Amino acid sequence: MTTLLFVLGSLTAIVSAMLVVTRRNPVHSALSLIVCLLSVALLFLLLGAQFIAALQVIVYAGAIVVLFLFVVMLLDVRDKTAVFHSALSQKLASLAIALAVLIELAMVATAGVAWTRKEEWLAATGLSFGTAQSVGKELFARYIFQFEVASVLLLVAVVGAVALAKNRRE
Amino acid sequence: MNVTISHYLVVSALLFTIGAAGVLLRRNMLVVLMSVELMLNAANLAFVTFARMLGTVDGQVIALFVMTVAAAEVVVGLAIVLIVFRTRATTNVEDVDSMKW
Repeated sequence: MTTLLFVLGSLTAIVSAMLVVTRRNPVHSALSLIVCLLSVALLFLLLGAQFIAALQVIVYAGAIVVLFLFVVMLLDVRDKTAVFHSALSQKLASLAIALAVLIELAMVATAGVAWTRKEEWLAATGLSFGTAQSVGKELFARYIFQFEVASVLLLVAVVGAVALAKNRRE
Repeated sequence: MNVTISHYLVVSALLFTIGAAGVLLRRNMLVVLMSVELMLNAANLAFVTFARMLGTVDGQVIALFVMTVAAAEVVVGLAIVLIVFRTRATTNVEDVDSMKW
């Protein structure tokens, strides 16, 4: 059952990620992005991270993609002539770099795990692993400073966005 | 088939690669930002996988911070896209080159 869900979630995630990159229309890309984020939320659930999965649905699929859709609709982009970069050399170089990244990451994924531990899950995770309670306890105890920095970052982002997008013509 | 850590990490690597290819290949600024989101999401998947592997929630806390940074980045990025569209009427990354030497 877990295997089936994993295969389903990961295949959906990868196919929809490809759709995000290849679709001509930005609205289609944004909708595929929602599908990808939701299937990654399923993978989070399989990994026992219930709280992060819920946040993924609420913050990413709920807020960020809606923001994307707002801007896409607001801009009303008409030029549908060119999707990818025009120069062939740039295309080839991009694909080569992406392929190099993939090979590097795959090597880390396959070889690095043996370095840390045998390929088996830690058995004793318990029912409370990854709940809002356990994550919150850690967040407000050991990571309290980083938490405050994150809140300041969000404030800066809000102020920056308002300052940038404000219409200066009086 | 038994699902192991490596499987999740390979999925994460594939998602990251697709995102990187999107950033490098696409010309539409909005889709470039979406591809950045894909890459951050792949990093989150790796963090949560390692949290599960080590049996601690530290990785999940880091994933939370990554989500915060992603939200901040998208807000500012979309504001910049809006201004560029307002002043130049384009979302093509190749048209925004006034700071290019």
